[in-house]
Amino acid sequence: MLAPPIRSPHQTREKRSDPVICPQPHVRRAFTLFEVALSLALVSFGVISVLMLLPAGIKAQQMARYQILASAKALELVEAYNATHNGNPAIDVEANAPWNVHINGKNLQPDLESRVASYRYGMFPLPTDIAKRLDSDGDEIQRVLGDGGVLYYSQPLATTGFQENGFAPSTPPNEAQRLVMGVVGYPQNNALLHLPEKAWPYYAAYPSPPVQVVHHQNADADTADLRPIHEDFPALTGNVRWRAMLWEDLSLGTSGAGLRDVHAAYWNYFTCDPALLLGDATLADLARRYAEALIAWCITQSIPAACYNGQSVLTDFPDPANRHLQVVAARIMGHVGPIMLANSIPSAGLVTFDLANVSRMHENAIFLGNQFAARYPYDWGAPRPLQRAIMMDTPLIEYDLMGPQRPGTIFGDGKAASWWKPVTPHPVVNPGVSMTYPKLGTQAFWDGLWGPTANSTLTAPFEPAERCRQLVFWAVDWQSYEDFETAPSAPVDAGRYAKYAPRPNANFATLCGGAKWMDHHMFGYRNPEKMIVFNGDMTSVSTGTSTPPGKSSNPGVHGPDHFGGQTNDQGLGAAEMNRFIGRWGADRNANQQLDRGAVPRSTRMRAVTVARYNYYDLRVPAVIR
Amino acid sequence: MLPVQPIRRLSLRQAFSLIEVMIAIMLGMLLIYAAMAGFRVASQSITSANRMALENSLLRAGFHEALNEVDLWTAYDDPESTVAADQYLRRAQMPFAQLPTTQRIMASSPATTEAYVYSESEMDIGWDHAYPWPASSSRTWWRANAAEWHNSRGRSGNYTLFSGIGGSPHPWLASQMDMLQTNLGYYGFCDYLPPSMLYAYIGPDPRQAGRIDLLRDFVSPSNFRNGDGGTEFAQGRYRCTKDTSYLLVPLKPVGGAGLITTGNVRRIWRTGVGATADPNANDSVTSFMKHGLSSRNQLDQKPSHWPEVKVQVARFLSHNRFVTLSKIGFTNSITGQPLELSFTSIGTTLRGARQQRKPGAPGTGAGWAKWWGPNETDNDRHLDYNPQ
Repeated sequence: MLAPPIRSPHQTREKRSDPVICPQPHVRRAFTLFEVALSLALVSFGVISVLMLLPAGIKAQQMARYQILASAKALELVEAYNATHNGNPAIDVEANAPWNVHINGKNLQPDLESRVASYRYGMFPLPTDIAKRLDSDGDEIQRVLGDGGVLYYSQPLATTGFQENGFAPSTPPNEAQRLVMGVVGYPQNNALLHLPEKAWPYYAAYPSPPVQVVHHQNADADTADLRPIHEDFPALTGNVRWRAMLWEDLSLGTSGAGLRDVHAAYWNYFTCDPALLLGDATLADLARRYAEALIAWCITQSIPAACYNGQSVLTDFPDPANRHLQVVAARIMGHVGPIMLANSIPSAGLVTFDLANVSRMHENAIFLGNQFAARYPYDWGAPRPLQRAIMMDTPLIEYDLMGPQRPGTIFGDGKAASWWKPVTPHPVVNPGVSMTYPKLGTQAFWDGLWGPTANSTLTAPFEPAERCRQLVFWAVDWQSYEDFETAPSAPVDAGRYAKYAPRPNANFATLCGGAKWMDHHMFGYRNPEKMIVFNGDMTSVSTGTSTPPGKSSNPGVHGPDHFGGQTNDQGLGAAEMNRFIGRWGADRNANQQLDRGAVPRSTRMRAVTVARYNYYDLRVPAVIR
Repeated sequence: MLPVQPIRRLSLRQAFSLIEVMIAIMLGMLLIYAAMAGFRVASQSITSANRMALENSLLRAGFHEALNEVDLWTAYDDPESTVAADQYLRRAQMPFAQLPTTQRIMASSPATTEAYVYSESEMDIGWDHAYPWPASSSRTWWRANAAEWHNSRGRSGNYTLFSGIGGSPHPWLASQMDMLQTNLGYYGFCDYLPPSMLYAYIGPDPRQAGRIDLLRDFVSPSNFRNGDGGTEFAQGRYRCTKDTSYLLVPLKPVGGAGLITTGNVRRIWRTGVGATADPNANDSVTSFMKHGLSSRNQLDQKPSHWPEVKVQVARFLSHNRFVTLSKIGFTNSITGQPLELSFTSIGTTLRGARQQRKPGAPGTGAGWAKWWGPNETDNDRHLDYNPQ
């Protein structure tokens, strides 16, 4: 029997002739649109998920890049913090009151952000307007700002210190500028860089004659000259005369008065006819008088003869009383000795000047000076040896933040001011007078100046955490903001305005406008963005407009200030003050043109934490090498 | 009964309608486009990520190499190389030259007390690498006349009676200073001396015409001294380097090996106020960098599509700051965009670098000096300690 032929379904259907009431389920029915849409959604979800992973990879690489940049920048900041210094040699450091000279403001503190945030050393405050728009993990950035801190961005190049050109225009943009930095943790109450009332330590060469200082009209603030010794210095600025004052005369109290005769004798010898040769009778006579005047002073002061007669090499102070006077006597005699020898004068009074004695005088002058400086840092009765500056020269002075303040008024302005009292771990003895304000240094003044030594903390034990602060880096494309260059600089501390200390016939405006501002002498002052701040209002200036450096360039940026050039951010004029504070923004990517980003200022950005570094926070103005 | 009307048969082979086809084509195209775009983005992303990873790797490697250089100074002296040119700076009067040494005098056993008593002799003329220059030692005191300057006519007397090279009773400090600047150049001179030193010393100098005793090169404008407002007296390190610099010339300076001369390590460079902007001028920062910046490609055997990586270092003293400047740079081989990472850092001093190296003539590959601890008897000799 043959098997029935196998039919295909189609054949079967073709055979059927009965009407179909209900069609059979379609065996090859297609996907419905819904199914297709669902499938597409699933596929899209998968594809998008995969695609979303790809940027994550790029972001990981970007983060790795930022971490490298942050590591390098952290190394540099810590190096600059420890190896650079606060030396701003062309500023006034003394005044009759601490609020009258800007020497202990935040800008000169031994804190990382203070030392490095300058146009020489490479990090600049991020405009506060922009910093406030940045979100971060734990809102850390806003907490830094809320605590009074500042965010910073860096210059494109390393901080070589050359010509203030680390951020000079024409430097190329750098990815490192997308990093912003902040210092987390509070700074400590630091040691003073200088005590304004007397910027100790004073230095003198050992040996040397009585210390004279060249003085600006003996510029005590009440205009009175104070016992000038001579006026041989030509007028340097207009009619202002520079005169010499004998500092030790005033600083050593009643003991110092006799030194005027010693100095006069020295001066007569030193300025005598330049044509006279050593050994000339006139010159020799003047030299002898110099020696005699000194010996007379020593006898009057009951200074042990061993300090000045050169009979023995000293190994300690001959007398525990008045060590400072012994140092002064030995120092000046060390200067007298070679002069007597050079003029072949064998003796003066009871002192013999032969080679052996003079050699011992020289030795004792240096020895006593070194001993005094090293052993008695709070005895200011004798200047420190210029040729052997050591750590102990600088006393540990801090302001007593918990004690009562000293009230007064701002010179030339009359407005009320107050300041903390300074404290030291040991009482200062023989404070004397300052070189600039000698009338100030009465005993009553010093007695009222200091706070209690018990409140001094600089030598107190401390926990490591107290000296630890943290440098935090975030990555954020802040230069995409439309106002990243036109936003005003972060607020500039008033301490960054270098002004003259009080002087006769001056008012506040002249003090603010008179000092010469030169980059290489005062890099710790002025707006840290000074090199790149715009000279004028940029509101109506088109994007892409060239902004070359030069104080006459508008549009343009400020650029460097050298000798003799008049700055355009100094003084109390509105335009000058606007430039000082950076009101019109700055060329922050240093490409010499005005840029505006695409992101509106209403948009907030997310800053991603890149790295954190702990570092030791100094309390004293120390440098490692 | 009404006949049942036959229901019209559904066509089992009915084609897609035009709309369906169009929708299908559109969906298909969308899918293909999305897939293509996805692949393209993926491909670009992967390429970018890979390139960035490569750049980061190179940057990281360059960074590590720069840090190694900061510590080991191989751009100035490669102690393991047997190529004489790699120890070129060991020649006389160059920064890695052998210093004459002084035997240390030990009065007690280092194994028990580690308390050494040094000779403190004024007559020592060599270099004692372990001598701490105690401030209490009278031979370390600077004894010239700091109150005197170039035109003071000698009225303060003759200070050669107290110190200076020659027959004075205190020749040690002046001899040390002379030895250091003569043997190492100005950077080494400043590196080795205590930071509070006055950088001038007494010695015979007919150019002073008997007016003052200090060597003229160290008080008046010269290859060592800047003008500094017309001041001409002994000065400290800050004023000597204010707006000016002393540099070390590396083995491969950017400007070419011809710049490795004894004169160039005894020369002052104007790098601050007064530095000319002319890159071709002799007294410009550009010229300074030609002399001071090393040039070394890191990847000589690299594939052609890899970025060119350079790690450069320059060491100089400016504004009383010993600067170690590192530069890592490469150019993106696709975009052509240059990228440079430059930074300064704290590293080994010249003195430390010299003590890392065994003594040996150029080309001998003497190697690194081992140091086991202070006063250990089996510490290797080094460039600062090689008694004959």
